Amino acid sequence: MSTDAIIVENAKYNYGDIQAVKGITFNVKEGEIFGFLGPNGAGKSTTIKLLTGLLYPKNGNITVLGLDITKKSGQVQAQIGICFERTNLYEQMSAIENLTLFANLYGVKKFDADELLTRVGLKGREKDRVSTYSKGMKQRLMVARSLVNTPKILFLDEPTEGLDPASADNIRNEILKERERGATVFLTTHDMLEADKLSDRVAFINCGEMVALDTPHNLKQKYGKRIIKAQIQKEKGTLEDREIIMDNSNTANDVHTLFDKEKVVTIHSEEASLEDIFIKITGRGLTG
Amino acid sequence: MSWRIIKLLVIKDFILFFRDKFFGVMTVFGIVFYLFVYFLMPNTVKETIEIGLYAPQASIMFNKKIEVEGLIIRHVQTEEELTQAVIDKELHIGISIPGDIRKSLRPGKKPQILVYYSSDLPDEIKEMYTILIGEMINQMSGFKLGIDDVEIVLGPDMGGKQIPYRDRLIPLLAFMIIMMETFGLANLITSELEIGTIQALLTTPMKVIDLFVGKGITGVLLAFSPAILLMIVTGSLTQNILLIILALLLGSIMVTGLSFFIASISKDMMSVIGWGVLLMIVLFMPAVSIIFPGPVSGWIKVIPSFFLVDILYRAVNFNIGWSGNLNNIMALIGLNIVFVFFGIITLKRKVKCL
Repeated sequence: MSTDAIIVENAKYNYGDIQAVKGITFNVKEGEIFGFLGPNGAGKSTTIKLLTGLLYPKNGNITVLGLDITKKSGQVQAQIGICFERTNLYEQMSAIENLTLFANLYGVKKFDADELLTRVGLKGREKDRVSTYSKGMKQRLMVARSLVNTPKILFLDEPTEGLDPASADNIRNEILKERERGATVFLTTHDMLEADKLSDRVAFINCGEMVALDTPHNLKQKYGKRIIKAQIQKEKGTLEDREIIMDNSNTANDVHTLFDKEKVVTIHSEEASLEDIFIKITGRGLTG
Repeated sequence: MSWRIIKLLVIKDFILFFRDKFFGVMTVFGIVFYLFVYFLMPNTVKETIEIGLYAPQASIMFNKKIEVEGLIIRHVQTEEELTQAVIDKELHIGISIPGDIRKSLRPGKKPQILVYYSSDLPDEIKEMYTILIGEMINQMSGFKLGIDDVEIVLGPDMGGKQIPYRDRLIPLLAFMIIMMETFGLANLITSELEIGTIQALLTTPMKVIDLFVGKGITGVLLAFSPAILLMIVTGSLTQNILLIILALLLGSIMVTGLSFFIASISKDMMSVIGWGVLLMIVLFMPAVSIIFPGPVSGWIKVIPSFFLVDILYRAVNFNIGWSGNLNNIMALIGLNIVFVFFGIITLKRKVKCL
């Protein structure tokens, strides 16, 4: 039976008069990839700061790995890894120096920098200063840095944003490998396909409030509709589009009727994306 | 607090500091340059005053050799030669005695002589020379003033002992080196805040106190080490060794507190330099005032750096030890507490706002 790696109960945080997080409640199960989605300014980064002990909630409780973050932040931080949205590496140091510094700060005794650098595709450039790296290389090094202490929970804040497909794919593979290892992954991203592909569950946050939480499949079932789109040829040779809504009791009959009575030229199914669902729930886009 | 983590932070900061092309190079270059300036300056003091005299009609009368220590009279042949020598600063002043001086020396008459001063001579110095000339004329012409003055020096005779300019410069150079590192540390902290590496550090088991102690140790070492090196190389660490070391250490702690404050109000390297220079100008005033002999204005003594440079000046140049510097040390300790406390409070606020 899986236990909860993160439990958040009615957590609130405000910057002066601005309420960034308005009493959110959720849990993240051990070993799952938890997608945390929302537009800019929705409260994602503040939530990550609250979960990692960089900020303490003004109200509510946050338990990470069974420890109260406000009282045992040091113990929590020793067991988590964070990849920030903004590149924050020591640019005048090499990749190996960056990784070794953080491994030492975590007090890791057996640390294989080479293995980690090979995993993220930076072997061969490990002695070069980070200032000479491309954005993709820096981002991969950020991911590597978040793994130096073999964390039980990995927080990834927009890890693939602005990366080329190869670099993004490398990072996605590492996320999956971490889940295979048993780590819990808390992932924020703007890339809905990425969230859909990787996440076991996703949560939507909007204006500091949690507006939905479920598996991508269940969210699509609940808020979206799956349709069959067909193109049929009429007698005069003209083409016409037809749509059949799936997941209801008449779907099978409707499809039979379509094929029996019409000349179907093309047919394909479509389902709502997470972005469609977010827009449906909140009335605004994820990139706004 | 973890000393293991603090040690890692200090090593990391030193690596970053010396890899910074500006601050790393400036530190090494600064020390070499200041030492070069020091050794370039003469290590002797010119203790003589040379006065020009033009007295064509009364040369016999003014031929008597005066016996004032440090005073040299140079006789010139023309008035033009006299004025040109004053303009060219070959002579401190020039005296021109009119031809009819004998008539003026009768009782009831006041002899008039022309005295040429350089245009940039301050009024106080002019007055001093006027008195000197009166005395000199009296001696040379045989009309002696009937005054016997007795000198009483209160405290260590700092005026009587002539200090070469390069040794007067020591407190200034030491303070300059200490202050220079303020920029370096403030820039290190500001860039950590700007790039966001401080967030990465704070999500490791490192505590905020580790961060401040680490940065503090880095700052003190960066300021103290080159300053002590300067003292050793210039031979200024031969007397009152512990006192000088303590003064430099306290000065380094003070500027570290100042670095924290500058970092807390700066956004990048340019703002660090902007704020730093602003404060540096004020803090340099006591060190500059020491170069010029004479009483120090009261307001200079309220500038925090005064206590540091005064200790260095007294200890290095006049061998004044602990008892003569006790007030300065106490003031410096008090200021250290204020500076460090204020620096930590302001920087902590900034770190919390991230």
